[in-house]
Amino acid sequence: MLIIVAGGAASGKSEHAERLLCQAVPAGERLYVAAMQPFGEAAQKRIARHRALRRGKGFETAERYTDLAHFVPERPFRGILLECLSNLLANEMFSPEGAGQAAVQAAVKGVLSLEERCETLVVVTNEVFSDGRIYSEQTMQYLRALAAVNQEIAVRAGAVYESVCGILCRIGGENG
Amino acid sequence: MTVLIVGGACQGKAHFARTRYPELQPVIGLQRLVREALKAGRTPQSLLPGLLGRVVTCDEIGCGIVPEDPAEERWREETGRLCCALAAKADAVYRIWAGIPQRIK
Repeated sequence: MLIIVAGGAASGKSEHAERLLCQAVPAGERLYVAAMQPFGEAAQKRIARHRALRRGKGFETAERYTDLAHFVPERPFRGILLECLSNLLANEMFSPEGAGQAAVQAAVKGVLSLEERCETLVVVTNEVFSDGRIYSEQTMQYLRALAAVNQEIAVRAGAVYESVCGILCRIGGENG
Repeated sequence: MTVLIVGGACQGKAHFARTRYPELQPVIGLQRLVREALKAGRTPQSLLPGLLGRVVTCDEIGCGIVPEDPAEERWREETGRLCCALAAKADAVYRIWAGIPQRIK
């Protein structure tokens, strides 16, 4: 089962994603795959915040910034939380070790590979499409690519949610 | 009773607030109050007690690319967190688009 949790900045999506995974699988069976690279003060703050949020919830953490399709966890886990798709895609597009032109396919394959490795995969993704601004061509390419990845995985998802002000709103998925 | 109404800019949030909840004192544009608080060196979460018992509107400002300016990013982050905290305490939360309210709590 694939579950997607989308949301804007500071909308409470991580907390919901963790809760959904904790409901699905017991402690000791939860793997957190962190895709955010710890570069810069803002990223470090965000990572520290996410770590504090996860503390005591029975997650093991693996850091993996690109090429999730070839990622093999140290041992099997029944549940995996990937945070987050927007970082993963940015790494694939802009990091030297990323897939470059093939970033969309790499990210989609990565998600599908994680899904095959567990019972429940929760993917966090960002709602970054609605501020009406026209960005540089590079950023617009990124927006198009992220939208493509979101769409490719959303059709496969059992449930798709958007977190709005900390309220989890169901927006799609197989079962409604 | 506390009500939070969020949505994009110019979607009819203030109008809905005043017509649907005329008995409540409105706070229009919480995102501006957050900006002012940050400018004055106050933590935006300190606004929370003053928002209870009101009908509050706030622009959804977190649905874009992370701003390069750290102050803009902080504003966006603090507005989002304050909305989460207010929504948790609110009796009703609406998201409004083109004047159409969707009750999400």
